[in-house]
Amino acid sequence: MKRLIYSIVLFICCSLTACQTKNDFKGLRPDVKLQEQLDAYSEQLSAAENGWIAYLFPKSGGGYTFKMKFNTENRVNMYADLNANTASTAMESSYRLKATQVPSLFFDTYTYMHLLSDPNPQVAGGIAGKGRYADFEFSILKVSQDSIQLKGNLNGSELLLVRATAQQGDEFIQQVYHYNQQHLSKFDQFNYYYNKVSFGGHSFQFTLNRQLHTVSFRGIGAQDSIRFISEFAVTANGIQLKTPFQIGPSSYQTLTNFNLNTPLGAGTFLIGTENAELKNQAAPLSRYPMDATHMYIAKYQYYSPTGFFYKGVEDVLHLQDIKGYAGLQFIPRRYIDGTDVFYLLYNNGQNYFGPGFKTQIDAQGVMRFTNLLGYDANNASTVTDELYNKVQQMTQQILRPEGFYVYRTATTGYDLVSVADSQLWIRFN
Amino acid sequence: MNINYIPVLRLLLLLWISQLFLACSKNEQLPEQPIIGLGGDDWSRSAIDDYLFENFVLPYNIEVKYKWDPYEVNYNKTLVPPMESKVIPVMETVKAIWMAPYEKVAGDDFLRKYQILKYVLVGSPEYQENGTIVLGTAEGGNKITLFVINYFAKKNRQEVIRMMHTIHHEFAHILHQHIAIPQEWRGLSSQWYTATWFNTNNAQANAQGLITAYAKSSEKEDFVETISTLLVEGQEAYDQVIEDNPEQELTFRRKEELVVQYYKDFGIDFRQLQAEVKAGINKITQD
Repeated sequence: MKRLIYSIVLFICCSLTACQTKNDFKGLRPDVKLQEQLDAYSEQLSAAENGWIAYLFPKSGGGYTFKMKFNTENRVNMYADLNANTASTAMESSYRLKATQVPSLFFDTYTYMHLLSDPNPQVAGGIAGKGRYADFEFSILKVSQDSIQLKGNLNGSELLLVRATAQQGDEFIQQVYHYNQQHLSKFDQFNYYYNKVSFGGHSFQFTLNRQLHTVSFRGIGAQDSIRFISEFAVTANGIQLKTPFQIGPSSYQTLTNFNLNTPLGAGTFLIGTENAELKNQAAPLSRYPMDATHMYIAKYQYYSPTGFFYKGVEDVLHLQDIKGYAGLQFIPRRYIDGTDVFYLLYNNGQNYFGPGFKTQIDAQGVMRFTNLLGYDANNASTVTDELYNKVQQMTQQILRPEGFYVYRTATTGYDLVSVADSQLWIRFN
Repeated sequence: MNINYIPVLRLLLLLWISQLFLACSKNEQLPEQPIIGLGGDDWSRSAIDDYLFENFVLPYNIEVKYKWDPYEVNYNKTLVPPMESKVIPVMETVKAIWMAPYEKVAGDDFLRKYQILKYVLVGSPEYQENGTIVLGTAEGGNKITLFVINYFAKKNRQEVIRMMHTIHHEFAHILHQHIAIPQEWRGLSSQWYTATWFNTNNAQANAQGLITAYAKSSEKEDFVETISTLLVEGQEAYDQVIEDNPEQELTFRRKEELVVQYYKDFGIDFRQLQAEVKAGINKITQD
């Protein structure tokens, strides 16, 4: 009997609740919202009448500047500061906005941006199968009126779009490219390796690495705990840092108005809005002894396209005259007995020839190459007299008994500076 | 009191269930806005899209995807989309050297019956961990992915042959998914099949009775490599290999025989097909 009563109560309860919710869903469906969002992004991209300036920072380092103009028909016009040709000739390709997990901007046919992503290392360097770890499909992370922040979907590289002003016309990237060639190149032309940069009461040892597009600041004196490295992209009057440089409460993201005088070894520029003074000098300013050890173990091989700098002259030994010259390689622990090698790559990188030796690193972080064991080649019959002589000259420089100071200038980029003569240095990445 | 309440319970349950039907007669409406991306992406059509629509979609229902779609390719590989300027030359070549010969020899409907439904074009090669690169893949008997489009040029005969070798190779895969590889093929070269085929070069493979190094990777690759070599590189190239490796003549000739026989099952005169492909290659590279 009790069960019957319970059942009736339950029945009444069920009957009461069954038709409580008669309301249909009132809000916008996700697909409608998504479509609206995509339309808004599309509208914003194509509405910029002067186009957009884009700074791309691939995952493997470096920074590149693009100028893009989007239209409403899925077409984009692009310039890039990769080389003289991409800086002066526009390339048209296609783009679209796609609803992936996050609304994304796809550059969906080949254009200058894809050069950095190309897995063929002969296109723009990098690793076979990976390229420069750049991207061409980007999630849209943050949007404001004049800038869009994006992140690569495959490799997570960073892309910043900034609405171009009327002054930043079609020749803007050419200006950027020339700025790099005319002003930033002077950093490789100073007599000595060491640059002291002072601003706002601070002093730093400063390098600007044009191969990897990085700057490094190392504190001197009161700032000696500060050590800052960032990628940069070039603008028409300076550089834009990927990560802002923070000193105390101040934060700096641009270095502009470079005015460098290489014969005098001096110059000025603006860091943010502050005046900075640069002094090129012979004596080392700061040292991080651990850099040498790090360089020795961090990577299996290091590459230098340019060879030695001496008194501000690139490739002072004229290694690049060798037929099919493809750069220098430093391979720590090339052989299992701890023999290290310096290879000169020739025949378009097919062949190598260079000395094998032992490396010593002392407590001061000085790297010395000693105990020349002989020369190593993968095809000895192609070693000409000219090549042999050049490599011998190179070996003399490498084996100088005073050794080299090592400075890290990028995530995996190191400079070797002769201890005996700070006019001689080589940049590896 | 001892009443039997089971029937009452049953009645209540019945009433309750019928209430469910009656109580809530809501008007369910489907949303008007379609799901985004369902049925593919939209974009403003260009001349390339028009060409592909008229030459591949309308007559054959073949989709040619040249715009980047990460879900069509290996997601963990670094690949790039093709250059727009390469799309039409590549597809013209495909038409002249793969589609036209089959249509001529096997009839207009052959390609509609044994169909490739989708071409995906990729600009770069796909790099493998073992140091090799992939030039083309076929999937599910209806999709072909063509890599290295950005290096294509009609005038470059070698490159045309390399790419068409890939397509005929992949299409042969599709054929043997309809009619199995002849039983007699088994055992001809079985002792040489290996996952590390890339440690052998073509000359070494030839000396073992296989037409290319890749033919060593498995029985079905051996089969389709033999077909595509006979068609694209041509009978002369095949005969040359036999001449250079006389001790393998029996194996190579037996394979050739089996291929000719296999195509008869599709109603195709293989010799005529060879001639048509050759004519197609000459036409494209001399244009």
